[in-house]
Amino acid sequence: MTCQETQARLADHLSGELPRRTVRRLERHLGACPACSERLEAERALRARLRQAVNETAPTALRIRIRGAIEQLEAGRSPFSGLFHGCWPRLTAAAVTAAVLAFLALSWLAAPPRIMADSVNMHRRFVSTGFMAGPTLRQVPAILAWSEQKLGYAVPRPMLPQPSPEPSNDVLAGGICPLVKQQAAYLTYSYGGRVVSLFMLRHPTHTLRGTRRVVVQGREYFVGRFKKYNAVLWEYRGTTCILVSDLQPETLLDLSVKVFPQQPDRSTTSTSLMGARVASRA
Amino acid sequence: MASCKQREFEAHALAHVDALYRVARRMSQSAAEAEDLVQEVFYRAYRSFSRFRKGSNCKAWLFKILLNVRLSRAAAVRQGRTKVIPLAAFSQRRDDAADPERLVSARIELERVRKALDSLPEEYRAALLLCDVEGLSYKHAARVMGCPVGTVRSRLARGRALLRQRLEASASQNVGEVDAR
Repeated sequence: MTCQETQARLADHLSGELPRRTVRRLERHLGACPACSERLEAERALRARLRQAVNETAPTALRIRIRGAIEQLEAGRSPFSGLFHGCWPRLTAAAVTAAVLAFLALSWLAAPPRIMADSVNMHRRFVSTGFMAGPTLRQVPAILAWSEQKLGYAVPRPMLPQPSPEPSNDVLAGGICPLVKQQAAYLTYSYGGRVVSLFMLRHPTHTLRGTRRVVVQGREYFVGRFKKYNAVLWEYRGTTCILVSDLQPETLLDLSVKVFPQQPDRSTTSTSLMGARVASRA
Repeated sequence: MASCKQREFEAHALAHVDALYRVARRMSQSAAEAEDLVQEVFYRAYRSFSRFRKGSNCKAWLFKILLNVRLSRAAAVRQGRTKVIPLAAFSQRRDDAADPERLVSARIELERVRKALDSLPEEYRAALLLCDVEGLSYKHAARVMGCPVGTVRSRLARGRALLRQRLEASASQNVGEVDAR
């Protein structure tokens, strides 16, 4: 093997891509030729530098988010899906799923659905781990576009007045998650150091346990508990909005009114709404 | 409690999160974008994990998803469906004031290599990252990039030559700058 032939094969040799016979011939040449050995070392050193230069480890927050997303996918999975995994033909699986869905739909019709207890755990998870499913916080424009397409309008980025000189009410997390057996867009943001999550559900089908009905500016709000959190639920253009936080119910209700400063069905100005107080309680 | 699928996914796929992040980081504009890419890759991978053939190369499969996600995002940006917001503020740069001179020069050297790599055309960069950094075989890299093995070989040869050229050019430029001072 000549020097030229050897040098042309050095990179492939380092990648372990040469046949054994060629490797033997190449090594014989390298043992006898200092110039080619030097080239091999230079090639090896370049590769080592390259590896060192790009050597980065994934941030811990990213690992947590991925695990959270997987857990979320698992939580949103049909309890029957494990049965289908690689065993039953897809057609049978689809038929059984359809039957289950039909049964669920009929039971929903018979009694108004209640918010699943576990769904509120998501709020805690968002807050504690920054969990996001699907599009992530850094894709807020994608979340807005998604909600605009699916819900008919974008999830509002709240423009809330700050009660104290705390960090701004910026978005902490956002995304699309399964909630009450349907897709919901959500944004979690900080409000004066406290965390508030706004969920927007596609179909207006939900009620809160033990709610009290409150009317503000002619609009109905339902104040209740969403597991261990306070929550306010209201309808907006045919969809359900749920604001969840550990804030006092009155404060949360006040925020709920302010989340949508522009009421599409009323001719009130945003200024008057921003200053709106609870008008009446039932 | 973790399901069987979850445990299997963690053992096979999540073990490659660093490798995915490394490649994503060099193929995207910012650390934030790389994180998003990797998260989406694992999200998609988990959803289709049942279709992953046991015994095949999981790392190559994940890289294939990564390149697909990246392509679809690039297409979305081109068609104006998605806006990319530069998030320089999210980059996690730390300045170690106590670093001795040696560490500083080593860091400058590595930065030079990174810059040279980032300046390569995308297909050469991808080939170098997959084969020379992540150690994928040419056959697996060809599957990931969706091209014949011969193309991978030529991209690698061209990429390595270009990288060497650019490193030499930047080294001589540095020497010139030092002389000028």
